[in-house]
Amino acid sequence: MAVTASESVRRSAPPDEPLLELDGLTVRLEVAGARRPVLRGVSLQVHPGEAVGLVGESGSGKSMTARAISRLLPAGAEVTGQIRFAGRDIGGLAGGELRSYRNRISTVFQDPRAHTNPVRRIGDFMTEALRTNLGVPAAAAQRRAAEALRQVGIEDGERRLRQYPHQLSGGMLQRVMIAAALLTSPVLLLADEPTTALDVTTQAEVMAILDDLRRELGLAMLFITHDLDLAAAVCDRTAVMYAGQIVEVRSSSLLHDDPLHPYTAALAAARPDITRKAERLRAIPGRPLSAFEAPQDECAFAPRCAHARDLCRARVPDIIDLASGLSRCVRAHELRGQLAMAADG
Amino acid sequence: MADQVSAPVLEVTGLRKEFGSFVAVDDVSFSVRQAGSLAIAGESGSGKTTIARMIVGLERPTSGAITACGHDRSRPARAARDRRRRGREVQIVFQDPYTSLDPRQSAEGSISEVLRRRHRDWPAARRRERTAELIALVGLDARQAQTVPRELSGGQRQRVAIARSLAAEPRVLILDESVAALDVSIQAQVLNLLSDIREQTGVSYVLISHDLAVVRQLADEIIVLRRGLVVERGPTARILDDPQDGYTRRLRASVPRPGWKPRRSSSTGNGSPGPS
Repeated sequence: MAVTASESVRRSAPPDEPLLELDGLTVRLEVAGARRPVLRGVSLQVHPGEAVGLVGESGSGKSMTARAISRLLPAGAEVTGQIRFAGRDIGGLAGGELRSYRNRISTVFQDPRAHTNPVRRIGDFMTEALRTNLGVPAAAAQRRAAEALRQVGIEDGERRLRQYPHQLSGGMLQRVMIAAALLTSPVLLLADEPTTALDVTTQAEVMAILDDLRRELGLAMLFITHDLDLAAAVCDRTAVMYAGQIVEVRSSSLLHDDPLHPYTAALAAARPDITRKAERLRAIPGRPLSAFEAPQDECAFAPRCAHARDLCRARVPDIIDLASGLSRCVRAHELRGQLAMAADG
Repeated sequence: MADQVSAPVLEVTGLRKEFGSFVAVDDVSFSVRQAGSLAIAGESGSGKTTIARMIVGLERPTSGAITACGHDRSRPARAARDRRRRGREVQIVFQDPYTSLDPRQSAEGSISEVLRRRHRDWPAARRRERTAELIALVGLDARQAQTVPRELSGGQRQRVAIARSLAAEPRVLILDESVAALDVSIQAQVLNLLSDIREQTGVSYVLISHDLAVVRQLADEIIVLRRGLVVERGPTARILDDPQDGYTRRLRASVPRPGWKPRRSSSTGNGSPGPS
């Protein structure tokens, strides 16, 4: 019984079916004695081979979404809604099934040093999942690890496998993490701010490697970042999160020039521009709110939004389908085409 | 007075710092005039933070000279009077607002403490008034001013750190990656605030940053540092629009922007074979 169940997780979904589907995902956590939402009705699909960006500021819920997908939510989290992987609800997976699911999704985290054991060699770390979960013999696992290191541009893989994390630079270690994430032949990569701790030239390098390999291997990716431009550079579609909700989903190429939600436009406009000094930056008043601090029965962004009207405060806006994308703004139709201009003017 | 306007408020000449056999900073020279703003840009290990630490006296230069407001500060201050004077000349705002404030002291408390040292003759009422001014200048409200750092967000804490450093009325403020840890929407607020403060007070900035877009927004001049050496220098607009040095170009090309795609550099790029 368990074998067939785990087989169904391994099998890839038909091409037109989403590989990963979040359906009204709501997560509540115990905060200061009360149960409060950290994610509110998050719905998002990632298709096989597709790269989707998840962009937001602190407290927006982007990392919590990744933890929900990995089934690594804090103890006591109350989850409603569904996460389906290859058509199957992952909420009930346990034991071998859960391990098998986790081998199909690999995660690359922001801080590689926090996710490696400083007293264990790179080789031990890289081959652990292969040896323990998939039963690959140690020597074969080492060969596959060295090969994976070559794929991320590390030529002297055999030597690196004998080294310890402290002997590698941050950029090199993050490449090791990417190689390790690919070793179990996943179909989905969860990349949670994988280059935020790196220098900008190293970031460009690591992102190029990640992007190349993902395309070569036909992997789907959920790329979590605070950087709208970085997400747009490597993702087909980008979802923007604010206060635990998705407020916009849009083809990445259109996101900057034709945003559908005022928050996306405001976020793009607030960033200083390397090509020109602005007289004043278009700061968003106030600060980003976490889901549990944001107003629960009106638009969560309304208190900071330059376009807010009475109807924005009347109720929580639904996601509106605008043919070229989704927006959680009641004025989305009306504001269409004006948001980018407002941002640049 | 005329002399002070024309002379640089901060001048660094032939600065060098060795850690054992490692040369962290190698023959770096620059000067900042009153109300000027100079960026020291570079990646990790370029030596930019070491320069900042030498200017404020947290590291001692191996050789070279640092002069602020006409006073040498390349050697440790010998007397308390010297130390206090140096505090009035140069202040620093660090990157991490979570570790640079006393966790038991409210914003008001930490600003007031600096004022007590800066103006020993001020009565308490005058100090309270100035504290309130500084709190308002950085855009904090009265409630936030009375809470301990733990209850403030990162952006609010950074405002406290800026207000506290301004309380010393420094001529030069060193901003060591001071906006790097902030969310984009908050970063814009703090950058606008820093522009306003320079305009209103005539303070000079030394901006230590890896972020060239932040540099463009806040600094008139830039020096680009790599492995302790200055590789390029000049007006920010010219250097960023038309970088001449290969490393500056690479740094410039690595910044994500609309339409940007990451590229593998030739040094490590190799035609990697497909998956097995």
